Amino acid sequence: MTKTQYFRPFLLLVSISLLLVYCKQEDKALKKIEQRHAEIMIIHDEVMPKMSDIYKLKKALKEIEQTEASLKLIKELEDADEAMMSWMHQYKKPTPGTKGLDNYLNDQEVLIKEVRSKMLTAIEKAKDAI
Amino acid sequence: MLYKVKMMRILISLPFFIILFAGCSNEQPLPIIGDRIDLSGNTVVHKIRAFTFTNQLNEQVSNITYQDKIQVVDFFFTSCPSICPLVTAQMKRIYNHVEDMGDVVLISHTIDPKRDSIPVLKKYADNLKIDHNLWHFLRGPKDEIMEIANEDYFIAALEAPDAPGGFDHSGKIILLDKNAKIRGFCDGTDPDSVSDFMKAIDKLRKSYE
Repeated sequence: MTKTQYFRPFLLLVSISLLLVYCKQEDKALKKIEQRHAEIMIIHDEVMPKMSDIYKLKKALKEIEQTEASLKLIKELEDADEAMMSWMHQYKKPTPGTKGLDNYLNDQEVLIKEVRSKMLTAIEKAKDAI
Repeated sequence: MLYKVKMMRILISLPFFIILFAGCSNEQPLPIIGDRIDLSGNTVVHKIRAFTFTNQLNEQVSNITYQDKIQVVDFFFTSCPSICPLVTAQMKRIYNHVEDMGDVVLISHTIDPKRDSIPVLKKYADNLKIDHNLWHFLRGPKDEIMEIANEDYFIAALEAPDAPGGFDHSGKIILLDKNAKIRGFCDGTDPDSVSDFMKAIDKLRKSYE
């Protein structure tokens, strides 16, 4: 048996092991992305139905006497609506291997929480005024 | 004697066949959704209001464009991260079902005209590999789209208030007859519901024969 013949099975074994480790790491990374994406989408799904409240409140405010205060509330509702639409437009579900993945997902979570806060505040203020 | 028995059997079974065939031919028509009775007892006919929007080919279209067409309508936006892609896939199924019929059109209203410009809508439509004359992606002023979605298509009323999509992209697909009256709707995220919807399209077409 030559040296090459001796090393061949060993090299094969090492290659398969490395491949398995790589696949496992890929799988782990994918699962992590899925989980973080799901967490972000939960926040989105929690407030997205409230877009209908924004529409209804805006309509109700437009029907009452227009004052500086009511116009300001309408503007806040419109800004909240726009914040959500804008967030959805810029958010892209990342793929494994994306540079700065953790930072991106953390930033997105902060952003969608800001959108939630903006929407809930605008809705509450409008409800109080009607 | 044998002849009499045979005749009796035929006579007895005849009403059953008549009822059976009557049942087949007198299928219940699709309901008309939205008409109501006012305080004076008169029927108020509900129709989709007149509109003028722009399609993905940058052509002005109005309700006149769809006169004498059966319309399949949904509300969407291209950057929707949740349910719109599912609904668009089901709209494509409907498109495949109706594309050779000639009297059915699909209409998708964007609720995000700010970002869904005409080139964006064109690209979205191109990716779906559809005939641009059979499936229109329409863009108009947001307030007007919201008004139509809410007041004319009753999207809010059709949707559970806590649905993740929100009313304005609820995932509902709506069926209009050739007089722009609402005749049915389905959950565009549910393939079974869409299959029933396609049968409703067939039934509606048959009613015009």
